[in-house]
Amino acid sequence: MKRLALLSALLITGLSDVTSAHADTAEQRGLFVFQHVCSSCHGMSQAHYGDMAALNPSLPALEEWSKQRHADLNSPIASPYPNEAVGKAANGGDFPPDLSHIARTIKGGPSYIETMLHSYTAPPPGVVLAPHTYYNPVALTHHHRFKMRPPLQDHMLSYPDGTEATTAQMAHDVTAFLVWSDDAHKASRTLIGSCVIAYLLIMLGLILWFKRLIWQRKPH
Amino acid sequence: MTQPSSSNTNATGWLTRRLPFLAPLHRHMTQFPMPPVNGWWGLGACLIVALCLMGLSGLFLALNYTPDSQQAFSAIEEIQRRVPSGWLIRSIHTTGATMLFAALYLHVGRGLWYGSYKAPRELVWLSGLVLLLLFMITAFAGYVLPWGQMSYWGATVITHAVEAIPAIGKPLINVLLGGEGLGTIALHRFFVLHFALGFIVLAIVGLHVVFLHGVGSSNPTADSPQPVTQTRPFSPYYISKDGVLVCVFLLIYAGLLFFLPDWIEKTSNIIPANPLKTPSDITPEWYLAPFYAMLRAVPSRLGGLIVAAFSVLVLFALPWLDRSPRHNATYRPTIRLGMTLVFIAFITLGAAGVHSPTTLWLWLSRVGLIVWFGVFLILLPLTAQRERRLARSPQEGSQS
Repeated sequence: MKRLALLSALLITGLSDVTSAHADTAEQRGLFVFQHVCSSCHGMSQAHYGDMAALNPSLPALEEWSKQRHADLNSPIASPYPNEAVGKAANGGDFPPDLSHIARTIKGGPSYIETMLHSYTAPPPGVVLAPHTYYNPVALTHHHRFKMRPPLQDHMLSYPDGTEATTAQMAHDVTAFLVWSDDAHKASRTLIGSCVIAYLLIMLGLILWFKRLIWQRKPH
Repeated sequence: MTQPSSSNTNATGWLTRRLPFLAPLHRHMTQFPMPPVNGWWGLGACLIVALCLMGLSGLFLALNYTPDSQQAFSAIEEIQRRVPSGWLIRSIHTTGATMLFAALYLHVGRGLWYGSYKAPRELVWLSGLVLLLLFMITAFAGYVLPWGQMSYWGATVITHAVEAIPAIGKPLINVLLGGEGLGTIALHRFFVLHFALGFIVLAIVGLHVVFLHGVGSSNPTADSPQPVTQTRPFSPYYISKDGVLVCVFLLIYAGLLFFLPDWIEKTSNIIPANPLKTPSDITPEWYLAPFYAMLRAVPSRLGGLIVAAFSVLVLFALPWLDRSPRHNATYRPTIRLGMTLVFIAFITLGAAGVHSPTTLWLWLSRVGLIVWFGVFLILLPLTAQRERRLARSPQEGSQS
């Protein structure tokens, strides 16, 4: 019993290691971009501030971020706008969508998000943009006249790990973060899944052997 | 065979003296004579394993679920993101639904092909069909619980279908949903229905097994030119055989669960339910898709409902539609063709149910329906009649 408890404790610590093993990865830099850029307009209401501990192990830093937004670690990362009307008014009539599952629900998926984020250009001659509208040839809505202002500029942030914060780099990182937030347990899922499959394969081998032994005997 | 009652020191001896029927029951279960059945007979064991996994994971999910239209979606997200191992338990449950229905349809298909519905196994067949219906209701109610877009709109489609029943449809839905349409009251009822049905299903599975043990498994070789009549005791022969099949079943289960989660969870159901925004196409889970296709194949709402209901009801009549002494479709050329067509029709209907209803899919599902009813209501009784005539006059039989 004691051995079992020890084994399960080992397993649990091992698993939590896997889930938080994203330090200085794209996901972690993406969280940095999300904190400083995206979250000023978008919410991620299904995730809590505390959930980010899997990417940023510094709880005091996360707590401070949540306090700045009048929340705590156990509250959802809500939209910064008090209601939809205010959000729409501030963004040319479109409410910034919630990002909880955006990597899966948006048409085109993660690759679309990444390309779209660094594809803003000046409008071609002849295209007149309404106020609060930005030209993005990749954007799938509004005939390339996007309502989201270009969120990323080269070197607008400086990453704590020293990576050069180009627009393309930030787009890549924040996309990795959005993919993580959509399915935060993917790393654990793959690890546990591999163990389960390995276990079942060994089990199948043993039972097949057992079955052959049994079926060689004549029924009496 | 050791006699458990001979020992008065161990736990079995203690139990046997207090529950004297345990020893004969144990003997009956282990020595249960099995005809030489093939691998398809192992699906029952797989289903029992799947059902146990569904029950256990479901209990843990229920502990963290809130049946409230405002909180249900967040409760699921809470399970997925923050409840320890919640994502795993929920994946076991959602993948379990797919695995259970896959095994269930194959199990029913095996019964159709090998004529397992015939005398004296009518009760096994009928209780199995009741289980099939209850599983469909349970799965439907369970799918509503996450209160995502597809949950809400799937439930809307089905309540609209029931509303098509003349005179009583609307009041019935009104009473069933608690009078305020699809809201918290309805969601709470779906939750209680789903939870309670889990246990009812478990009880009927018990009955199903009791019915089977009354008459024994059918012999797939009985109609072959060289029938094998030798039986083997269930334990250890068929325990080991079922063990292999359950292991393969669990491997597929784990593969889906851990490596192909996107096959199980529809993207549109991770968007919270929005009664003001209809999704571009409402598709049911694959296991209810054939019946959804039947609802749509008939141009009238009531007609669709009747056809879908009769598609299952006709199965209840099979033991009396097909009273031929022959069981195994392998040795009944017309039935072999007919059952193959029925299986193809069912798969076609399923494919039609998950696609948007274009003219092609509508006509394919209509053809599927004609095949389904044609085989069960015309081909099967006619063939059975002919086979019975042949059985009465063996000379004629040997010529054909």
